[in-house]
Amino acid sequence: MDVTVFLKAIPDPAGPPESFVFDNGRQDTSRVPFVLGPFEENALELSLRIIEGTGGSLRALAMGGPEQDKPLRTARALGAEAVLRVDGPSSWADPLVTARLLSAGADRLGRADLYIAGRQAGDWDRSVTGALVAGLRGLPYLCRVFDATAQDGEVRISQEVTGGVRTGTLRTSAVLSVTNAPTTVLRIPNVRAVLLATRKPVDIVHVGSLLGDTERVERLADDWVSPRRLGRAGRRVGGDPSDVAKALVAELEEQGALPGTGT
Amino acid sequence: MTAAAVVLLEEEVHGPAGAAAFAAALTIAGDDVRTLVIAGEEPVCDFPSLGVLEVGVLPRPGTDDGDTWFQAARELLCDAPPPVVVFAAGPLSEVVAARLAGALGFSPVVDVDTLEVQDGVLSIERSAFGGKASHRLRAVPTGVVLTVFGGGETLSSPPP
Repeated sequence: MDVTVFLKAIPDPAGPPESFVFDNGRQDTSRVPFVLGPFEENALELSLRIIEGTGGSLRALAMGGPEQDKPLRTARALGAEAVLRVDGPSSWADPLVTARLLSAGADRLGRADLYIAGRQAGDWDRSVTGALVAGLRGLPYLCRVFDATAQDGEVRISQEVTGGVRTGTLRTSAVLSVTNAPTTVLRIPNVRAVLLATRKPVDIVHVGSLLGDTERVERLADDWVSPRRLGRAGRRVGGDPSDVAKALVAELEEQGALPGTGT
Repeated sequence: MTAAAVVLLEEEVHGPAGAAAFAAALTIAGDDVRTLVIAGEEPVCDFPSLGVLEVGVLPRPGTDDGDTWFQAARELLCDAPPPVVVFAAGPLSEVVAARLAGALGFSPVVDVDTLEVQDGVLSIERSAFGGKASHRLRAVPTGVVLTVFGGGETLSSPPP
């Protein structure tokens, strides 16, 4: 079973607060390293498990500038036979254009049985790329997948659904989006494979050669992004239950949250 | 003013996000709104609606992770999709809305917190970076799918 996985490097979400800086309505990424997004790590791991079980090939695809090369090299070090970067802005405002470009880029890598994305990008929190690609390509869409086991050429997929877990056998081409679970924690590549992957350049294709001008017209435009003012941090009240109750009542009275105590 | 359709997947009909979806559609389209409800079984209660109400009943409800919900929404919309489609944000619309956007060639904006119309353009705020930032964007209302949360300042009014 051949797999194409969509990867994305994002500003490190675990970076120190001082690196989370906005300037003139845009995030200042000059002081923050880019890392493979957490859910894209999960997508890559699940992709590896599927090709190992079915004997297929893995291709990896990302879109953006040179900051996207590192995750593609990670994928190559872990076994991706082909990697491709669609050269363009790191973040298009319109996810439909992103999905069109990724879908067209995937075609450059050859037909795949499965197209796999992370559940959502860790920067814009949109959770739409996999679903859009499914809609564009007319393929079924399975989201929140957290496990895949391959046997006799078939893949059993487990996914989170409302109120439980759903497991079934995949018998058709599809788009999956992958969520975090112990089964999708990305393995660590060995050092030799990393060094070999670093020596080979990443193949690059330019957006203009994938889509015509009209297909790249965006209906959405970014205005600004700015940090949210966070509310006051919670306060832990411990000790004897009767003391806790008194402390909570006193706190609620102070805030005017009890009837007759407002100011 | 542009036309809009509110698509409510059964579980989200009566919740705050459902009311927010109506409020968003009213803000965008005024009177030119229709309501599509997709239900998992023959409906046993009235559905709130704006404009013409169409109800799609799924042939086999519920447990297939959105595929039949998506097919039903596409069937109701594919003949004459309005320029703006509004979903109530929820677990089902997370699966259905963006896929429908791809099938229609529309641009999705998910988890809308607040929405205004300024000079015919939608001005939208939503959260990003795991809730640590607010993101405002503008959308031309010609081929857009929105999912909206309940409780946002401009999206908390129930339908009249």
